[in-house]
Amino acid sequence: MIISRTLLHYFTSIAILISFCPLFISIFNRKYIKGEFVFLTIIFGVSALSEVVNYFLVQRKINTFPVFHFYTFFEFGLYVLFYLNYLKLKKSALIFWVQILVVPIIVIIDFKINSLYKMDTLSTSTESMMLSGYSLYLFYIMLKLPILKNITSAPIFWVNSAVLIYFMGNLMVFLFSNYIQTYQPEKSDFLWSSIHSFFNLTYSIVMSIGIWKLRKA
Amino acid sequence: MNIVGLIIVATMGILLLVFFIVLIVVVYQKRMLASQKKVTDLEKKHQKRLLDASLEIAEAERQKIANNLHDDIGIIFNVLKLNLSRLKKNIHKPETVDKIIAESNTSIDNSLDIVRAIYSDIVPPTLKMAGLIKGVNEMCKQLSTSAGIEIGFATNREYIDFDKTVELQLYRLIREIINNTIKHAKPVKMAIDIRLVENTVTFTLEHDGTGITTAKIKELAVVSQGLGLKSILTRSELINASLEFTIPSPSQALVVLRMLLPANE
Repeated sequence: MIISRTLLHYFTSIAILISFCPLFISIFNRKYIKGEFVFLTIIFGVSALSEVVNYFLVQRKINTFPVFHFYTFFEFGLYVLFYLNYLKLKKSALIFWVQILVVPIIVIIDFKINSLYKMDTLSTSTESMMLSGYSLYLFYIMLKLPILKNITSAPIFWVNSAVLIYFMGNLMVFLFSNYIQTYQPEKSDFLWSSIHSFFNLTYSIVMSIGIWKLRKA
Repeated sequence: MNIVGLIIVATMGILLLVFFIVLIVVVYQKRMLASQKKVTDLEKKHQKRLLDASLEIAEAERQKIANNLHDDIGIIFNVLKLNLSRLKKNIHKPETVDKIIAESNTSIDNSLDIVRAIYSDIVPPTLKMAGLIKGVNEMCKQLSTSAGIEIGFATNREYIDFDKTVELQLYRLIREIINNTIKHAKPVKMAIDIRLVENTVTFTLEHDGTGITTAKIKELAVVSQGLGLKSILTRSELINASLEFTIPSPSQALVVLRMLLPANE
């Protein structure tokens, strides 16, 4: 058990380290970052910043959940802007205003239900479902209109796959996180270190491929 | 199974689902692009075939003009040259000079007639001055006399405002159809009808000769060495006209050509 915990710890650390890759590649490819991909770069920046803040807070044994509450909100808003811009959906579209109104309400409800010092399960689950919806919609558009000549060399394919893998994969973890923390706290670490880290790692690798492919797009 | 086990199983299920979604997108998109490429290739092939056929027709027409100039005008100029030599030799014989001048005048008149015929074969004056309806009517009258066939002509319009290039192509197409019918179907009677209903121009040729079907025409166009059929099919495709050959009864055969005009015409 000690070995497996150590392994999981290493695995989590690797996943966190690799999660900086998309940001580094974005900086390296900065002259190719245009349009909606600017929002993605901001997401990577915010994500890296929250990881650093999280690290220092953990070192000082301070609860890190408030950081993630705010991170979720920014991440979701930026992804929505990314998809709306890529799909050329007008900002006046009903879908945009619904999200602008619904998301803060969900975040506030989440504060009330789970408090600022617990995992924001409601916000993250809603975010995961909505972003998975966007990702599936974009795949549907790719199928309906063959806008991309070679799909596997298109950055958007990799970015969209990364979003779908991460948010659909982590849906169960986000949904049941507080439940596990309350009723089986000894398994909470395992859940985060294995499932979340696995999807985090996959997300970072797939997203890095997408950002790298911007050079050839 | 405890809740963590359930979460792991559900997550694996979701992972599998995501994997299949991505896989389906990639495979389906690649297949769709492949089929699109196939359609584009076919389209390109078709365009090339049309272009080749058009060039072949244009080349044949140039050859025909060259032959006419060489065989008819060339001969007349040779005769005129000989006449000039004869004139030089017989300059002191007024009777012979008058005869040679009269012969030369006739030759010049003949050559003028030939030039006019070549010109009207390329750009029929009636077509140019009065449009397709009058042009086809005139052609029917000429063919009726030269081929000894009774050709009736009917229309519901005095004039149809065509694009000039399309009009010339349509005229040549109609001429090719009539000529081919006379040559191969050997009819005694022919009835031609040109109608404009809404935006559709319909040319109908009804005859009592040997009929042919569209399928047979297409079959013959592949094996035939002559340019006639190929020219008919190519010209009809070039002006986006549909062509139908039918045999409604043993004593009646039909050729129907339909062409959609732009809405403002």
